[in-house]
Amino acid sequence: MTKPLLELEDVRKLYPVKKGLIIQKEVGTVRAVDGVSFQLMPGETLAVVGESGCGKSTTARLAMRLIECTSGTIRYDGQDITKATRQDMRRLRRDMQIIFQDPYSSLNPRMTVEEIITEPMVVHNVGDRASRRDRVRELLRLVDLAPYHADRYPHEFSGGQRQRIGIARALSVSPRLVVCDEPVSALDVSIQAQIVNLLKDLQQEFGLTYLFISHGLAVVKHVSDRVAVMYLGQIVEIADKKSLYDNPRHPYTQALLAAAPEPDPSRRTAMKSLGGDLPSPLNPPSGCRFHTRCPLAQERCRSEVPALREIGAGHQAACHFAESVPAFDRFRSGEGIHPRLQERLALYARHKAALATTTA
Amino acid sequence: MSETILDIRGLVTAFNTRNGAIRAVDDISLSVKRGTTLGIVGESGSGKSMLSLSVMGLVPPPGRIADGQVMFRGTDLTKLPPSRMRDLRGNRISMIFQEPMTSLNPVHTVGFQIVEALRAHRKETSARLKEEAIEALRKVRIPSPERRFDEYPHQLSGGMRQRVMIAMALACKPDLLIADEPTTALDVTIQAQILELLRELQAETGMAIILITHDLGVVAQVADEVAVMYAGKVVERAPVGQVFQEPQHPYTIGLMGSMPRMEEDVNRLVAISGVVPPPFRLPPGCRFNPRCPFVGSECRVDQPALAALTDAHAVACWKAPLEDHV
Repeated sequence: MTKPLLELEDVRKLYPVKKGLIIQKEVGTVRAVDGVSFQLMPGETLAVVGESGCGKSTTARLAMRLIECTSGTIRYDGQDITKATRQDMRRLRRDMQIIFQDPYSSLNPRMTVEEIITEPMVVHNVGDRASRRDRVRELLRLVDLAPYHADRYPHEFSGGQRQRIGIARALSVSPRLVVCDEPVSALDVSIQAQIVNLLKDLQQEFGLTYLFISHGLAVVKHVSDRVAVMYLGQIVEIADKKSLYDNPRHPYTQALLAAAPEPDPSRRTAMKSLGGDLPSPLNPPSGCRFHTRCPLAQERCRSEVPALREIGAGHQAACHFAESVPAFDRFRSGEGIHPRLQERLALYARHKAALATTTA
Repeated sequence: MSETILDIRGLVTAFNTRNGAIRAVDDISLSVKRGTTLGIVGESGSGKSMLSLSVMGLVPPPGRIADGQVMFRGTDLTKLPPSRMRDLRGNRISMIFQEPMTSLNPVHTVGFQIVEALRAHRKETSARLKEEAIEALRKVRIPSPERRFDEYPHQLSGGMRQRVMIAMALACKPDLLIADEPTTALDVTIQAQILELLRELQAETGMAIILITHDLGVVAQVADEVAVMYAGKVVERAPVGQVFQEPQHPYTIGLMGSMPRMEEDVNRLVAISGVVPPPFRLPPGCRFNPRCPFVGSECRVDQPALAALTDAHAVACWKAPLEDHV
C-alpha cells in the first residue's frame, strides 16, 4: 500500500480577536480552520472547494506551513512538519511549491522572468549558473513560452502568460507537491482553459501531486481525482470525484452544485438558491454549522455536532442524515451538451489540431 | 410587439492615445425590447464595459463617443446636454456595478444613500422618501428593511450590499437596467440568489436589462438574446438558445469549449489558443484571425461585417455559415 504524501490530522487554526488599545482583552476566536483531516496520495489531485471565508486557502497555507497551525499534525512523506526545525523546513520546501491566485501581485515587477524562475533554484542551491540558465529555457518551453521571454519583465505579459511564469517558477526545483491556490480564478474563460490543460499535462509528465484550491465546482471536476467540500472551517464532505458529483450526500454540497448556473438555456430551471448568508466564523452556529441555511435541518442538527463519517467506499460526509438526504440528479437527468454544439466543438478541435501540425 | 427601449446604432467610442486613436467600442449596433434581457459576453478588453459606460454617458476622458447614436425610447442620448442626461441617469436608466463595496459610500447609512438617489429625481417630503426607500429595500427581499435602513455598508454581507445596490438602481422604476458583472464578486450560492431576484423583478416591472458578463452560465440562465464581443466588435448576435446550440462564430465556439462543465465528463477542454490582442496592435482583417482554427486567406485581409444568417442570428465571419465552408 502506498503511503500518503501529505496527511493532515485534526488541524486547527484559531485567530484570537482582541479588543482595547492598551489593555488588550481577548473577546473571541475566529475558527478559520477547525479540525481538518485528509490524506493526499502521491500523483493524485485533491481539490478543496468552498465559498469565500470557508478556510480553504488557510488550509493550503497550513499544509505548507506558511502559517503555523494552532493544533494538529501535518505529515509530509511520513514526517511531522509541525515540529520540523527551520533548516529542515527549508529543505522540505524544495519538495512543495505553490502557485498563487493573482498573477499580478505574485511576481516581482522589478525582476526579469529569468530571475524570477531562477530564484527558487538559488535559494535551494540547485545547479550552477549555466545549468540554471538552461533550466529556465527548458521550463519556458514546458509552459509554452518562448526562450526570448526570459529577459522580459512581468508587466510585458498578459494575465495568462504571467500565470505560466508562476507555474514555471514553482516547477523549477522539481517539487513533488504543488499547492494551486485558485490558479485560474483571476483569468479570462479562454485563458482558464489553457492553464487547466497545461496543469494536467504537467502532472502527467512529472507525476506531480496537486492540492487544488478553488471556489468553482466546474473547474474542479476537470482537474481533480478527489474533492473535499469545506464550510466554515470544516470539511463537510470528501469523496472521489465521481461519487461526489453523482451522489452528493451533504445538503451543502448539493446546494453548491445546484447554485452553479448551468450553461444550457433549454434547462433553465429555477436556480434553487440557498437562503441566507454565510454565518460569521467568529461565532459559528451550534450543532451542525450548516443548520441555519440547511433546507433539511431538524432539531437534532441544532444541538449535536455531526462527525465526518464513512458512508460509502472512500466517501465521507458530516451530516446526521447523510443516508436519507434525497438523491441529487441534476447531472443525470439531462443529456449533456447539445449534439449540434458537440459537433461544432469537435470540428473546432480538429481544425485547431490540424493548424498546429501545419505551422509546427 | 413590445417597445424597443434602447437602440444602439453604429456606436464608436474612441480614445486618443500616444499610439493613435483606439476604438474601444467599434461600430456596434444592438437593441433591447421592454421586458427582455440582452446578455453581452466578452473577455477583458473586449469593450463590453466601455459600451455600457457609453450608453450611460459616462465615458471617462479622454474617451469620447466618436460616432453613432444611442436611441433611448426615441431620444438620442449622445446629443443630450449633460443636465438632461443627469435627469435620465439613475431615473429612467440605472446601472449596477461589479463591486458592491466600492460603489457604496462607507460613511453614510444605506438608507441615506437610497434617499439621496431618490431626492435627485423626486420632489417629496423626507418622510415620504424614507418610506419609498424602505419599500425599495423590501422589494429586493432584504429582511427587516426598517432596521437595515439605518445600517452602514460594512455591516452588510456582500450579497446584501449587492441587494442594496439593486434597490437603489430600481428605486425610481427605470425602463432600462444595465448590470455590469453584477455577480462576479459574489459566491456561487449568493450569485444564484441575485440572479433569481433580477429575474423576478424584471417580471414584476417589465424593465429591459442589459447584462454584461464573462460567465456563459449566467447568460444561459437569464438572457433572452446574446451578443458576443471580441476586441471592440460584436462578432455574433442571436437568441440565447441558438448561441448555445449552434454557435457560428469560431470565437463563440471556442468560448463554449473553454468552459468547464459539470454535466459532462470531458477530459480535455477545447481551449482557444493565443491571447486577446491589445487595442493598439489589432491584426489586419478579422480581429480573431490569429487565434482562429478556421482561418483562411481572406480573413487576414478584410474585416467581415456582422451579417444576418437568419432573421435573428447575425455573425461577423467569412466562413459563416460554418457548415457550408469547412
